[in-house]
Order: sequence, then C-alpha cells, then structure tokens
Amino acid sequence: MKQKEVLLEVKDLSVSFFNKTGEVQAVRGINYTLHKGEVLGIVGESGSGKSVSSHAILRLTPDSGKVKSGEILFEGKDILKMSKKEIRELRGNRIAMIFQDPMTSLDPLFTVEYQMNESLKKHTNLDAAARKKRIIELLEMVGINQPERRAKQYPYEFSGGMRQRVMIAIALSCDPQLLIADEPTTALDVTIQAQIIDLLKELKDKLGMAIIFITHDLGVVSDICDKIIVMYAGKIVESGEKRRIFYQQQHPYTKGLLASVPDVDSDVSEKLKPIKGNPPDMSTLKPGCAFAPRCNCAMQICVREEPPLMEMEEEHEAACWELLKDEVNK
Amino acid sequence: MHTSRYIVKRIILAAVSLFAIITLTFFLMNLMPGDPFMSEKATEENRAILIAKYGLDQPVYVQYGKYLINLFQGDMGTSYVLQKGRAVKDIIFESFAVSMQLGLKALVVALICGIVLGCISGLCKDKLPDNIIRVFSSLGISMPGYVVASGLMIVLAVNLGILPVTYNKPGGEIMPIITLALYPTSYLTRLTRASILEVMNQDYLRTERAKGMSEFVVVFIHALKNSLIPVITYLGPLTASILTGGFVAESVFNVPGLGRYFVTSISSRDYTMIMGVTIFYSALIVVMNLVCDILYKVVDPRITLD
Repeated sequence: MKQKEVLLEVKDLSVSFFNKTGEVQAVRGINYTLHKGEVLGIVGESGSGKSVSSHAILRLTPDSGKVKSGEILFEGKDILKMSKKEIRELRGNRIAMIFQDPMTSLDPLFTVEYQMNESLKKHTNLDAAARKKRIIELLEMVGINQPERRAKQYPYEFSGGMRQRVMIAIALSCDPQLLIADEPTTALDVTIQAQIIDLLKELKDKLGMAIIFITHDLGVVSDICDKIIVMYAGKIVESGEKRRIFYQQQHPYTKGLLASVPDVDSDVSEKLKPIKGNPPDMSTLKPGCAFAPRCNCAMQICVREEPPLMEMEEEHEAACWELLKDEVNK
Repeated sequence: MHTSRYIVKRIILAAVSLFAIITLTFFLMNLMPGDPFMSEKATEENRAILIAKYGLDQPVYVQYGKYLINLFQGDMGTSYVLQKGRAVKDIIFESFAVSMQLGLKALVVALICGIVLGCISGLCKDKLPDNIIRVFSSLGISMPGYVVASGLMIVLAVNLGILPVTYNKPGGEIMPIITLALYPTSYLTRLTRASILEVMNQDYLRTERAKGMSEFVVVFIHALKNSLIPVITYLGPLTASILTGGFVAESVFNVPGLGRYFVTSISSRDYTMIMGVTIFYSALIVVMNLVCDILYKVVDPRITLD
C-alpha cells in the first residue's frame, strides 16, 4: 500500500463550554489523523462531542465555547494559530462544511445563485460570467434539474433534500480538499438520506476530497467511510478501519451501539436492544471511565481510573480496561 | 405575478373600510351633545338661523346622505368653527404640509437612530453599550409626550437658552422633531435588538461563516436584512402617525400642523373638520399599510400577496 499523504492532524484537542454553573467539557483531548481522499466517520450519541470537535476545525465554535488546548494541523499548519483572515481563506475554499438541518442553513432572503456566488467571488478569480457558468455546473453536478431556473429561486422553493444538495454545491464550489459533513442526513427522509449519501460518495470519487462524516447512524457510516471514530463523553473510545469496527469491535460502547441497530432480517417480535442508562452530565464528570456506569463488564478500576487508548493492531485502537484485564488483575 | 390584482383587491377593501369609518364617525359625532355654534355669543334666534343655514336641523340621515354626495364630488365642506368659512380640504392640505415636513424628518431620525442603536445593543448583548441603550430606550417608551416636550422646553429653551421656544424661529424644528421621534426611536431600538438577537443564532449565519464570509457581510448583509422584517411591519402605522404629527408636539411648540386639529376639531364640535381629519388619517393609514405589505414582499420572497 502506498504511503498516503496526511491532510489533517488533530492533536490533543479539548473544547469546553462555559456557563453560569461552570465548565462543560465537551471534547476532552482527542487525537486523529486524516489522509488525503479518506473518509472518516465520527460516530456518537448527542453530546458526545462529535460536532463540537469538528466545528473547531473551522473555528466555528460558538462564543460560549473555547478551544482549551491542542493543535489542528491542516497540511502542516496549525489552524488554531491562524489569523482571522487566514482562517477565512480556508473556510469554504480548502475546507468546506455542510450542516445538519438544510431547512435553516440557507439564508431565506437571498437566491440560491446569490449565496453560491458569494463564495465563488471570495475564493476564485472567475469573472461574473464564469461564476454564473460554474454555478449552473455545480447545481447540475449535485443533481438539480433545470439549474438555470432553479438558481434564481429562493431557498423556500426547494425541498429539504434539494436544499441539502444546494448546500453540497456551495461547499464544493471551490474544490475543497476536506469536506466536513455534520450529520448531513439526520433531518432528511430515509429515501432522501440514501440519495444524499450516494451523491457524496459519487462526488468524493470524482473530486478526490477527504470527508469527515459526523453521524449517530452506524448504517450511514458503513456505507461511505474508510475509517471510523467512536466518541463517548468527549473522548475517542474506539477508532479503526471500518471493517474492524464492524466485525472486531473491542469497546463495550461500540458493541452496544452496533447491537442497538435493528436488523432488517430479524424477527419482528424481537425487541430493540438499547444501551441502558444515559450519557453522563459533562459538567460533573467523575474520575474513571465515563462509560463505566452503563457498562456491563465494568470493573473496580473502571470507576477509579480512565483507560488510555490502546493500539490493538495496526490502525485499531480502543480505550477499555477490559482489554488489559489480565494485566489489571495481576 | 398577481401583485396588481392584489393591489386592486386591497384598494376595494380599503374603500369599504373607509366607508365604514365615515359612517361610524358621522353618527357617533352627532350623538355628542352640543353643536358647532354653542360657544357663539349669539341669541337663540341667531343660533337657530346658523344651524338652519348649515342644514344641521335636518334629520341625521339626511345630513349623512348629503355629506356623502358632497364627499363623492370631492367637497368636504367648510369649517364651522376653527377657521370659519375656509374649505376643510384646504385646511387639511395646508396643515398636513407642515406636519409632513416635520414628520418626515422625525421619521428619518427615528429609523436611523432606532436601527443603529438596536444593532449596537443586540450585538453587544449584556455589555455596557447595551445596558445604557436599554435604559434610555425604556425611558423613551415610557415617558409621555407632554413630559418630553415640556422637559425639552425647560432644559434646552428656558434654562440653557440654546433653542427657541416656538416653532417658527430658526432651529425651532429641533425640539418638535425630538418629541415626535423619541418614542418610535426607542420602540425601533428594542424591536431591532430583539430581532437581531434572534437572527444571530440562526444556522444560515453559521453557513455564511463556514463559506469564509467576513463578519461584516455576515452581520450587515445577512443578519441585518433578516432582522428588519419585523421592523417593516411597524413601519406602516408609524409612518402614518408620525406624518400627521403629534397633538402634543404641535400644541406645545405651536406648530401649525394637522395634529392639533384631531383634538380641537372635536372639542369645538367642528363637524366638517372632524370628518375631514378622520377620513384623511384613515386613508393615510390604509395606504401606508398597503405600501408596507408590498415592501414586505420586496424584502421577504417567502411572503405571497394573497
């Protein structure tokens, strides 16, 4: 296998939110590497820090939040140390983003053409006519019929799926090297979900960009991702190549997530298998493994000390004391 | 588009409501005790002659019918008391010109100050500028016009002596404009602030940032345009009321505008003036609301005019 070029390196990233009651540690020291053209899935429940960690890549953390520590190296340069101007050059140009709710992600008072033109005007040297041509091309590429007519319409004249296609067209307008897709299918109907995933897959093969795909739906990641990171309570609990996560998962939380996905072939009378309990309150985290209170195989050490991420085999890591049971018991 | 059909429909509706207003006002007015000539230093006989001369001895419905017929011919009659013998139409147009001139200036002041202050307040939420603006806008909303007018007069004209007391001297417009503009400025400030705060959390602004747009574009193109929608709704009634002038501002500063006539025409039972002023004000409100609705459509494409 040829050596892949590193595109993005996230090192020891921590993000916290501050409110009247104190600090909420949304992301607690995560590390990962993304290579060019790779698709990384970040999976976790609501509040696991998956969106927060990805918004930090574009420095889109809301005002109440703060990146406490870490480095985000994009092609070797630390995004967190960039000036506002440099970061704006990056946004929408080299790194683009699409969001969860296409119904609210476009400005209702401007035409689709205007909103697409904005980023082209900022990031490219194309003249007005060339930009217009590019807009039509992009809309065609994301599967919007009659692009000339549709470009002049307002967001309210598009359905949810169509709006997400417009969002994708905007994101891809300047040929980004990295696309961050923050739950892009969550707000859509199942059939539309599949269409959007297929579109992203197709465009990824065509344009060769890397994608960070954030979702809570394992079915979605299985379709599109090369690598998967499972997050729980602001930490990575397991990460690895897609097949390893699906067939040789080690962390009890990953096991629980996979077990909770309903199987089409299973008996209808079979009940869903949820993971019992709730995610922890991130403002009052106790020492030890954050998943321990919900874990079936929790040991004494699990409530005392936090397990480190351990490499199981090449490109497969998990953070669980169970994996070191023999040594722990010694 | 159906815009022209919509406008025609609205004009017909407006005519219907104007007709209702005319009818209601006419009969209510005649229910009031007294008549236009009760203060005349005339004998009973002479008063009776005057009343007969103007046809006020006839049954109310006959008077009403005659008034309507004249109105359709563009004749609003002559003033009975306030400017005896002058055509109501001329009085209204003359005084409205004064009120409008003053009102337009006040409107511009209110719009600019209200929106700018509202933006500052919203963008600096809970910081010092916001707190200061909020205190003053609350004051501006809660202070009655006569307090503002007489306060201004005492401080600026009497104590400091920097502005003249009455309207017709140089600089005399400033205090009436402040009096007229203070309430709408404060209201617009609060409206814009609330609206900006809501809009600043919208997802589409995050999209704009993610596209690499500068904070200036995010705030002053996308956020501002979206937050002005509720402001436009308030613009219709505001424009009508500010253009016709405030009774208080015009009385205190002795402005020969239309605002004074709203009250004086009623207290002096100047029937034709009451009708004229009411019709004029109603028509203005109807027109301004229509203009606002069309403006609404221009700003917000989601609005359909049906």
